[in-house]
Amino acid sequence: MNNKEEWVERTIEVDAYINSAIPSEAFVKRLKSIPNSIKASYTLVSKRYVWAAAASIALLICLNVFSAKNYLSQNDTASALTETINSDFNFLNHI
Amino acid sequence: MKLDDQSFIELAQKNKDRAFSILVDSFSGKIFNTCINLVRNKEDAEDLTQEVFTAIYLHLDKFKGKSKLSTWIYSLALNKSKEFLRKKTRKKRFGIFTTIEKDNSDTLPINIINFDHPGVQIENKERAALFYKALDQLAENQKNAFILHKIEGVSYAEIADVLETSIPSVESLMFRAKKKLKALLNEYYKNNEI
Repeated sequence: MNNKEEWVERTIEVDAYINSAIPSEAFVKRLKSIPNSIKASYTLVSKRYVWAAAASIALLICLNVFSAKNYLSQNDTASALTETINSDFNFLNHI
Repeated sequence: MKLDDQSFIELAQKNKDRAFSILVDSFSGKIFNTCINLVRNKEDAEDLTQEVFTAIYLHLDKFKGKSKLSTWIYSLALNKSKEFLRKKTRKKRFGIFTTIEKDNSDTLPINIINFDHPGVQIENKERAALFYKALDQLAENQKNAFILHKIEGVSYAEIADVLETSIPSVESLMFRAKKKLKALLNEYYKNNEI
């Protein structure tokens, strides 16, 4: 094996010169505290508030639907009224 | 304390936090090491390892032992690393004069970026930097297989499970990875007269 081949082989045999990187104790501690931080983030907002927010959104949607329906029916009545007035006016003009 | 997969599942059902703690003791080193070899930055590797273990904790109930525990964890680590590198590349693309295509040539880029791998001694830093630069020229699956087998010491059978392929495919990936690495390093040796 010549110098070049030897150098290439030695570079490829990484297990001979790249050892395992050992995580620090502080980091392992941080990993072990993952369950606590997840639980903490879950308990940050209580279920009562989540339900209150959901109910508010539902109420908002209901009110919007109700007012939209109301608006549309009012529009229908208004246009019917305008038509009647127009026809009456035309009739009067005709006379 | 080490547990076989079945005992681990039983413990996880009874006491999830205790099972997770044992898991951290058994796998934190391996996952941190895999991440550091893939992302080449200690801080990023720590963040990534934390992400992997958070995902493990959140999905621990779903692990039913269909695959080996280690296979499941390595798959998570590889997927998270892939996601991380994709995000990083996307950010880089906003930069000016950045190459976005993979270099398929048989030469190593001249600028070799050193990174401080905690497992490499000073006298081997240059060699390691060269190796990692060559490794970056490999296809993703070849790179993953090479890291898992050569650096992490994972068996071909387990790599096949992690990469969702067959053992002959892993053998082929390793063969092609070595061939490409040799070609790249040969070329570098020739050009730089080491």
